[in-house]
Amino acid sequence: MKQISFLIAQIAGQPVALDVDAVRAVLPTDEITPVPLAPPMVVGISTKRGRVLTVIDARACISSETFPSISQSIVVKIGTHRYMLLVDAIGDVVNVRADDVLPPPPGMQPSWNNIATGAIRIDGQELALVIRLEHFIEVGLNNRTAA
Amino acid sequence: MADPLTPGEGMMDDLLDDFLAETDENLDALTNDLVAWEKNPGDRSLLDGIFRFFHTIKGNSGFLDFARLGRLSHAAETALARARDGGVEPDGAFVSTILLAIDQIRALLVVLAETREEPSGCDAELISRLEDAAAPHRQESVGKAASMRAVQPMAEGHGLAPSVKAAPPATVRVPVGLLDRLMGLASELVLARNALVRSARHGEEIPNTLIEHVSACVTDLQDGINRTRMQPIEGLWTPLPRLVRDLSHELGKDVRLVLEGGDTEIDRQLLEVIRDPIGHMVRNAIDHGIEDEAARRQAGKAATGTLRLSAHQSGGHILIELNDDGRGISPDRLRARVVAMGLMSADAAAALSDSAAQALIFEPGLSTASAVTSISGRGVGMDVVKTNLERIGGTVEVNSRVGHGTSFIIRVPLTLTIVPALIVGVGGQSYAIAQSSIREIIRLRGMGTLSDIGGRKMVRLRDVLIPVIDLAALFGRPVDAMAERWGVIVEIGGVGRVAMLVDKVSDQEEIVIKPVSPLLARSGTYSGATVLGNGEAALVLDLAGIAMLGEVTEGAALDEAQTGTSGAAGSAASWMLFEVGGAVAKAVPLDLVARIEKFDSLVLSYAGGRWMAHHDDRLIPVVALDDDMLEGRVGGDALILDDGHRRAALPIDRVVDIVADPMLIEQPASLNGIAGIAIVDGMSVEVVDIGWVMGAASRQAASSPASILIIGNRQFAAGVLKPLLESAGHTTTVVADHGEAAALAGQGAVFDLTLAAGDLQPPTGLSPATLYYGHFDGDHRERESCVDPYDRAGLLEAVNISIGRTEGAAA
Repeated sequence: MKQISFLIAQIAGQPVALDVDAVRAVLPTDEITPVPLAPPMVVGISTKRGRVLTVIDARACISSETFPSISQSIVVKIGTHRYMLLVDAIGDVVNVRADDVLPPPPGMQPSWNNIATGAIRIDGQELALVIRLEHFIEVGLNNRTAA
Repeated sequence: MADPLTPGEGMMDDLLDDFLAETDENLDALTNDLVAWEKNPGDRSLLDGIFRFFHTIKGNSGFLDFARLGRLSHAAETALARARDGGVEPDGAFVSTILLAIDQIRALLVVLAETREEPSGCDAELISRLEDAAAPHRQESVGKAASMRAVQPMAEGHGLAPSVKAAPPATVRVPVGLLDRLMGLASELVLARNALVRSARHGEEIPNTLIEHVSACVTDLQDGINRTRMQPIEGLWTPLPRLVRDLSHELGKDVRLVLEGGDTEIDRQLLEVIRDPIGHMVRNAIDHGIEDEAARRQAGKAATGTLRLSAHQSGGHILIELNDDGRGISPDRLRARVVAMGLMSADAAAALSDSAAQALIFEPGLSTASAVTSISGRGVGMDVVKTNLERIGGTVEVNSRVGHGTSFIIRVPLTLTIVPALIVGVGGQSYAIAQSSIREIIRLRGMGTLSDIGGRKMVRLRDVLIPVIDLAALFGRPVDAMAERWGVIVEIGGVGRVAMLVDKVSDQEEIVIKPVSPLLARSGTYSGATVLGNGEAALVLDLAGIAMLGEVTEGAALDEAQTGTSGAAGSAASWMLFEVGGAVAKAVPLDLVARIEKFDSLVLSYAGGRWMAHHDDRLIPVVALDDDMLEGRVGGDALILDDGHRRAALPIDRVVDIVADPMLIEQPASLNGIAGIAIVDGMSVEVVDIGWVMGAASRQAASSPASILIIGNRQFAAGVLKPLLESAGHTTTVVADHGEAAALAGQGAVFDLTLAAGDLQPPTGLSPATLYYGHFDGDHRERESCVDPYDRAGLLEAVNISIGRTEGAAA
């Protein structure tokens, strides 16, 4: 049976699972240059090994609350661009069998619609939403403009 | 076991790839051969080559089992065979039909490359047309129909068909020699890296020679990598013979196409960007420029029009010229058109020079074609061409003589990815502005120096009011209305000149532009991002987008009526450019350079805390723009500067050039000895602050603020003395002469000090002390009350002493 690896993280209090194939690195967040006139969830830009990353507060895509700053971030590649996602916390990598990925649970907060494509149980217990990164930013923008 | 006679799947794939690549490569050449053969039907070798090509396609199609391709190429081959036997006249209609077959083959190949399967369908109509074309007594109507392209090929026509090769990932061909050179440079860098690591490990200081070596290697490597991106401009030329042929047939004009400089190399990314503009301009030239035969004869010109495209490299640019010998661009029609469109008053239009009127074709919506044809005048005008070129840092200009022809000169940079940029500070952050857009940099003393016209802030620069965009305000950063700001004057396509207000002008750097994520691009503010030398991330400003956000539109800059002469203070006629230390050239007024000496020939002595050079039996101070520069210096030159009564020796690496441009003199706060940055031939040049150099020996003492009245030539007083005194904390009032000063006295004004030009006798009673500045030949004044206006430190010291004395006397 095919195994899928997920990186577990927590965004705005919600455990999520990111496909590790899209994750490039987990890095400390230092030296973020703010970007004027950018959408609200854009924290700024940062450089890593000569690359310019767009730093996004993943929590701001979901919620309009303000969140404490954190020291670690997840670097993901969406399309041809790299983003640095700020999340509440970063957990472990878990392996699950492909048929253990559940459909997204009913009764999710509406802001997760179109972002979550499924859910997995971590250690058979807590439910983490499997999120689709390429939709994350677009939906996040809509959530914020609707709010 | 597999049947040994059936090629395996992988092998078929390889064969198909080979077939596609080979055929696509040959299609362009074939098209041009066909066009050439049409002009010269007697050339058997051309015809044989064309014939052979179709024959090969037919053979390969049979082998790869592509029936449709096979039938089509067979029909074309048959038609060509008839022409070869002399059975049919190869006229325009015949060639058009063969060209249609080529278009269709290309279209089939595009689908093949994508789907790996031959598209279903049939080309019966085209095949019957090919058969008709080959028939010995075909009717005229058939030929006509063929030339009217009733058959829609699957790909868009006009010879600019998409390349079949677009499907697989883009590849480049690199000459082996170049690859070897890159490899050599990489090895050199490895050795240099090893030396660096060794030095670092042993805690040794890294020798300068090593740093220079690494820097030279990187420059060469960058150059080499750029070269791998280069392609001959031939790629742009290739589709043109067919395009010109089809257009001239359609329009009933006879046009000869001359292509020159096809081996000029250009960055492949740029090649793609200029492909459409060039195609557009060629269409325009044939549609609007070149007249039909009758009109040409009437004008006494050769019946055949000539369209000439040439390319060559000039400095860091590629120049592409497009000349036609057509009717030229009528300035009167353009004038009439702007007036008709309400863009300009009749008087203003009449006042335009002919060349200014002709340049109006780059304005949006000004297509002058009286009839909109299918070829041009479709709303994609020269304004789009201009905008597209400017987006990549290029320019286009037009020269046209009515009745004689038109020439367009396109200038594009050699490469896109690495560009010189100016780093500016806004709200404590760094941003990059591409150097190619920057015209000038001016210093502004607080927001009060701006004019407010119609609710918009404008800055006056040599009788032109330029709209201002305050980037700090736009970015929502606090603006200190009193602080010194900088106006970066940029030229924006479709908008004109705009002054971008920034807090700081820091540096010039060659930056590598990286695309920004769509999330950031959507604000229209940034065209890219980069990593600065200090490791900081910086955004590259999208000037056109910012102009739009700042609501600055076309023609916002206002020309003011000429009010007398307004020579910019501090600008001199000629400048000497030289290099020292950094990569940015520096400039001094040529008039001040008395001599250039070999630095090693100067006898130096260290006395009184400073270096002095023995020169012409005089001791002159050595002033270094960079403090570290004098220590252990070997080689190079020294400029002996002389402003009439003082001398200084300025060590330099080498003289670069002498230019006659006016330059702007302003001073970034961060640099000693540099008055400002000017742009010469698109390059930044640091203008040396002569006042600083001449007065570099002593530093000004702290002073108590005083109110000072300056009497003298307004330009010098307000442009030089006022900023100097104000920067030392004093407040100043400037008057031009005795009369104005007396008027002030009448109003009861009182100052701490009067500073008067040496040839003036100021009114008494305005201040307790008076100093004189300027040149003195007599000794009619007390020596201690005279100051040298170029000796900043001396002047400030004298001011402080005078104030101190009067303060002391008062106390």
